[in-house]
Amino acid sequence: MEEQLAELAAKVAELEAKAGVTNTMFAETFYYLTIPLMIIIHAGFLAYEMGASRQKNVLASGVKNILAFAFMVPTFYYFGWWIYWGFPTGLTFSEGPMGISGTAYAAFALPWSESMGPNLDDRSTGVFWGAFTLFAATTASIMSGAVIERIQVVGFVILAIVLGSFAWVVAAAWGWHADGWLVTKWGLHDFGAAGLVHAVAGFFALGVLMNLGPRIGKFNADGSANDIQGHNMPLTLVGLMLIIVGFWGFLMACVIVPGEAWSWYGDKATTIYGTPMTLGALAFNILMGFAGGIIGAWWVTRDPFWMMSGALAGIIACASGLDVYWPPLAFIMGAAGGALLKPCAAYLERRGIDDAVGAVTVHGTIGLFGLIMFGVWGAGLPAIQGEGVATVSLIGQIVGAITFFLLGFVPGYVVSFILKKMNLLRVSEDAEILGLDPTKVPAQAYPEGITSSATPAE
Amino acid sequence: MGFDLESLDDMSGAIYMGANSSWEVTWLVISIAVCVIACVVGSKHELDAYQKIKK
Repeated sequence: MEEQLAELAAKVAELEAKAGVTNTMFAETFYYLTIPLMIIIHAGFLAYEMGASRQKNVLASGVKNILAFAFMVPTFYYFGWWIYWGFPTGLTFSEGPMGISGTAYAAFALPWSESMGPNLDDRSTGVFWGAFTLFAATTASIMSGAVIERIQVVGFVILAIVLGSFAWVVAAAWGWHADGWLVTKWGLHDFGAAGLVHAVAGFFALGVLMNLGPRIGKFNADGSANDIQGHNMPLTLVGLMLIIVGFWGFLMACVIVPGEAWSWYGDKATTIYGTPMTLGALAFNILMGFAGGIIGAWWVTRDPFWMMSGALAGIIACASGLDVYWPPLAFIMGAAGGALLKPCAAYLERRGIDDAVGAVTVHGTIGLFGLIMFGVWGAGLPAIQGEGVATVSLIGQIVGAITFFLLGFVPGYVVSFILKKMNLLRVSEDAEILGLDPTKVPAQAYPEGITSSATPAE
Repeated sequence: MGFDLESLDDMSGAIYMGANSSWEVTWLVISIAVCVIACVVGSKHELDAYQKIKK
């Protein structure tokens, strides 16, 4: 009998070990696969920006976008990942409610730590770092579209690094991390990063645009605006659809899978805050927000560019609460986001801001709209695990919105102002008029030629 | 709308906002109305466009 019991115990232990290996491989694969999915976002941004550029600037826009991605990877390795773990409680390394200091949290994220390379005892850091690096690259690409056709490449790369490996990372430390002060003190809930990725990047772009100025020919002497059409609207539309495809990877990477030492539960998936959720919630609400955004923008504009931008806006409008939205409400939030786009973009244009692709509106304005509205719909949801924790509230979401606005706008404005003083921000007038491709790109987008469209007032 | 929970461990079953309340039907009806009105207004825009180019 004892022998049989021992045999049974050994068998159970063996099965448990096998189940553990399966779960760990599943977790590693889950985050690993979000990385190529999110790279599709960048394929989309590349197509979107190049299509929105005039023929004379197509490849220069592409070079800028590709370089933003390339520089984001090493800089996020050197310091971005460390910043996320080091500063959840503010700008000090103090302990949060979990009783761990920022220094202790971030020790494993130092670029010379054993966890920051292939390590058989750490099967999660690499894939988490990869997913966060792609979040960072997304912020840089959001800014990239707004500034096309007149920004210097190196100046842009510096701005991309400040945004992607610093500004949004601080926002994530404060608004995503289990010890983030916006979460623990104000009950912030921003599951899909409407505020801490989209709004930060959108308002960073606004700060840059204020120093960069409009493209030559955008505004007339009386202040009225001209419509500068990109050379290939179909390419832009396909690019926008690719961004939507990549969003599935982005939002999938916001889920914490169960069963690992770092998971919130052994038996259910959660948000990054530890609130229970399902992937089914994402399927319902991403699709409903996406559809609502297209319909809302179609209703207001009839313009395919704004309709596909509306799809993005629709998802961003409900991103904060994709885990718990009632799908018809996600649809209505999406429709509102899509409908708001063009009036908000026109408002900025009337104030002399030349945002070539509407990035400030799509990501900044709609990001804050979604973040704040979740304070109305999701009030009372415990922000994190534990007894007596802060709950979601309108005030808490507004505090988050103000914080994210400042974390985007202030660094964007200040760094671009310094770059402007150093003559590293804007290309020369001659180069802008001739075109950036013939000026500095050793390749031609269309060597057999296409007819150039005339730009008003240039 | 909103949530009335003591802790996250109380979350079970339908976890969306407004679950088992009249809000479910309210938002469902409004979302259907958005679709219908968008089609009506869209159709008017389309017919007006055809009318404009009529010889």
